Amino acid sequence: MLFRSKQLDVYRENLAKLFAPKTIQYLYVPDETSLNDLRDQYIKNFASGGLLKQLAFISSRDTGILDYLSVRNNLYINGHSKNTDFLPEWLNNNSPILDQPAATLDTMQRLYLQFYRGLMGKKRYLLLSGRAEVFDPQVTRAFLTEAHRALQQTDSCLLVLTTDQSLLSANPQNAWKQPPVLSLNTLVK
Amino acid sequence: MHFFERTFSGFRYHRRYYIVMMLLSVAFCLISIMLITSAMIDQSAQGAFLQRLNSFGAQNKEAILLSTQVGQAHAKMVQSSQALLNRVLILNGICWLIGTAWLWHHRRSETDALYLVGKSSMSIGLQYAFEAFFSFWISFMISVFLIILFNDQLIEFLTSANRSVFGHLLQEGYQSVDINKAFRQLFARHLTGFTRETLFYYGSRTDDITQPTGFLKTLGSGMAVILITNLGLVTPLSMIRKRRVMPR
Repeated sequence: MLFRSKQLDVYRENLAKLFAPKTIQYLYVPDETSLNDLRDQYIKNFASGGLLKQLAFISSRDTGILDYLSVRNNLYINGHSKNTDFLPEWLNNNSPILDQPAATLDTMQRLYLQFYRGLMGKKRYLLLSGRAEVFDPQVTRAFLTEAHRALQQTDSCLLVLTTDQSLLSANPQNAWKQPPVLSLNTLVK
Repeated sequence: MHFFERTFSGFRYHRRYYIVMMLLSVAFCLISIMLITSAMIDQSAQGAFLQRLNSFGAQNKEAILLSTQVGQAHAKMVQSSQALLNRVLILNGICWLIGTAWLWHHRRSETDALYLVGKSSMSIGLQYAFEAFFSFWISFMISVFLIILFNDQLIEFLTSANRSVFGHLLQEGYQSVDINKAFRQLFARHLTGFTRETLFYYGSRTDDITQPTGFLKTLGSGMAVILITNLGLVTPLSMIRKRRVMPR
């Protein structure tokens, strides 16, 4: 039992080194099937490493947004961080949107809500897996610029699973042409 | 996000479903309380009958004959009201089971969303169960209110219905035993403050039964049905669903 606990500590440390806080990591996958497979594999790895509670999801399909709750309640569903400086104006405390039902949000607003929900819940890792038709280059750039700005005020790291190679070319310092294997056996040696 | 806030929002969101279930629950509560009260009225009537019969003398041959016949009719009444109550309980259970299964299917994406934000199966199961408990509690309170409002009429109706059923059941024994004869002989030598009809059963309403009963039993059985359907159906189904959302 003690050995297992030590093993998980090492796993967490090594994963933290791999994906540094305040960064956006770009992980390339050739097609959508591989993207879904990698997402599922990473969830399994995080679960076996005891890190599922530190993982938040951002997706255009499985949003994890409860339509019957207000935007505010969805934003705070994972907890309420004291530091809210990273929130954009439309999600700030006095914004009228916060009291609207989440069902009224459009696709992009839902993506932003998922991202900020993860930051509010102090999640260490945010896993973004989006479909190409939602993430056109301009929208993606705007989202990533805003995400980069917000991440600087937190200790979180955004993992972007993408089929778009140009994103990796534009960010070579955090690009993974071959996504790392995150299994317990690989990271704890 | 507070658990109860989520629960009440969920309840509000699925209000159409819960309104149907609440109407069903009001019907269940009313029928259940009426059947339990009816059994109590019958027990009381039997007690009063034996008390009145005692005034004729316990060893009286006719009194023993009547006591046996009336006792059998009362036993049949208790049996039939218990059997009816059991059927109502089972029917209520089936309705909740079907309703719960339908709602769970309807809110699959909501279950996925809750798993995605890190809620446990326990938290999700409790939310769904509390929504159902809340709806049943409202139904129960509506039923109690209706019963308080029509208390006297209800007791009167149940006593009269019981008397009618009892009379019918007693009639069935007439062919084998000559109760009429026993009656004539019994009353021939006595002056009583009651008639033949009121010896068997009360008049328009009872003196000692003034309020319906079975509230706690009804509330308990309704809650138990919800607990069982949620523990036995919703939680296992949600746990299966979790494997799809969170592959392990």
